[in-house]
Amino acid sequence: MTGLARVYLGLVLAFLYVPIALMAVMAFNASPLYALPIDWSGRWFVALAGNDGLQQATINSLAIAVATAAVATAIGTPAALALHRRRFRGRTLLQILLLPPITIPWLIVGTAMLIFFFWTGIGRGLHAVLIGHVALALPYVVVIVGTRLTRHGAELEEAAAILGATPIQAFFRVTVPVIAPGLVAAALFAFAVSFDQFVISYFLSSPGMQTLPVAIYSAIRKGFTPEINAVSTLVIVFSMVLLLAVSRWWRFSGEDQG
Amino acid sequence: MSAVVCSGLTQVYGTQAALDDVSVTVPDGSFFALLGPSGSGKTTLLRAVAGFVRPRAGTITIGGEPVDALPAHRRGLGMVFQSYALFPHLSVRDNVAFGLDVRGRPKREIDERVRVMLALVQLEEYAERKPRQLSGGQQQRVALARALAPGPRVLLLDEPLSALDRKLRQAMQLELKRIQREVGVTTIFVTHDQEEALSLADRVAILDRGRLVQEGPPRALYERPERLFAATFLGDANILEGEAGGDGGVQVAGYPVHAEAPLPDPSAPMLAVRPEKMTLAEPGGGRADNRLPAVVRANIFGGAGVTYILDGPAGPLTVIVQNRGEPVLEDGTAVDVLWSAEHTIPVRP
Repeated sequence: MTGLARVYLGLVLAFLYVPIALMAVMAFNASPLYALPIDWSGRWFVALAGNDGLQQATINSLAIAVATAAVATAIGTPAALALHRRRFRGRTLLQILLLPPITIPWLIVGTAMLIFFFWTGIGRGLHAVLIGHVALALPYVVVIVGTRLTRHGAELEEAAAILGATPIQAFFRVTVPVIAPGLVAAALFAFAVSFDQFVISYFLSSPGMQTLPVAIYSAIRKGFTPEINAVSTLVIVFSMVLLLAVSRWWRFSGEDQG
Repeated sequence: MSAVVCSGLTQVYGTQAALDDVSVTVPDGSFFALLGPSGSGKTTLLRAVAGFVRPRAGTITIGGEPVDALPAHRRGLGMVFQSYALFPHLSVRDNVAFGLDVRGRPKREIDERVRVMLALVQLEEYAERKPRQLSGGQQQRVALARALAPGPRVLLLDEPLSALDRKLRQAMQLELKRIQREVGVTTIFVTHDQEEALSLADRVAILDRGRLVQEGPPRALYERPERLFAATFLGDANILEGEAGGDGGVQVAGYPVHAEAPLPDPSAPMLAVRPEKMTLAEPGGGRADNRLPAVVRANIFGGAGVTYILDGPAGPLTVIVQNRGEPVLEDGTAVDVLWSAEHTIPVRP
């Protein structure tokens, strides 16, 4: 049975990884036509180094993803605290209302944002992209941080209070360290939501200032070059290293802390 | 002086009264138990003293100072939670130091105080451990040391022993009592375990459905319960519902029953008798103030004593007879149940 389980899991992972792996391999093929056998070369990475447009787009994407992670976590954590630590009329309704934005198609959210930003004078550009990404990431942050908050209940904060800690001291000395894994997970999720995002970025970015997915899409429309494979490979390596690093840190910080 | 005085405390959750006009005084330095079943309001009362619950009505003073407007962190109390609520990210030392640290005490004072507290609960070697590396009993002691470290005016304990197994629980009861005596801090202790309340506390308040039923020293509560609930919740009791007799006495199913204490309601008297205060005799034999005929229905041998369930003239009776070597009475044996007027306790419903 364990052999079967191993084979099955292997197939699932193959399903996930084969297209990605193929693209990564082709990034090292000198032939732009995917000719076999592979003629190993780093020429597309060299070409990428000379491609200012893709580089700028990568920097834009990273900056926006980091900003989204920071802003969404900073806004979402107090919201999660309010939902899970205070009792007030309409609390359940507010909590339920957090979820529908997750299921509304991005195309529709993007259209709505475009109209709204145009109408209010916010306009388009990286600032509009950032606002849009934060709005997309917020529900995830509130849910992820909230899950962590429900796991340890209000007793630790009460214990801090009765020991003389002011609410601010209790928050920074007890709540934040205890929910730190949740904060990291939420920030990572917000980062991923932003870094992956195409539709809303496409709608809200101005032509000169693109994020990486938008730049890749534009490049493909103009004509595919294996530089796209090269930049995608770099992105994949970056994402995997980031995720592995975080999951390792998470384990060390003790997720068994209840 | 850190007596805790609660007067007229009322708290409502939805339509349910969690506290209904509760007034109780916890004397300075006493070990005070709040005893009641779940839903009796005992935990709400403790949380009101802690400052986690703001009652709808009533006032609380601690050491003469009204604390109603003070948030929990300014009341100067210590508390041990049912789940201990130790900070999982801090070592034992830092947990115990927390209360002094947030008050900005100098480091040398904190170190010294933590050392003394860990010695008090005999956990000096565990200072660098994290809470999850400790057993339940050790965690409990850390929680106690942490609560006592800042020198609280009052120590609050919320069913602190309920998560421990029976043997450890008994050891911790002794430990708790020793520490409370040593420190001399006024202690309020919430429990649903009547034995724990009787053995630990020097005063007990019994609560039922948000109301204070009776308050006093354990012995007085056990020997002189005023209400039916106090008589049956604290220990076992035979309840005899009688009617007023012609001579001003009480009759139970036609048999006269005498009580020393005056009846609160002579028209519908209700009497409680503890099972261990009753004895069994052959029909017509023995001498006592009170006598009811009965038939043995079942016996439960418990080593030190035998518990008999009997069919009496007014319903079942329970009698506990000490094992002094007599043979156990067979089911169906006709006997007389005897007891004295002194042990007949008139109670109100």
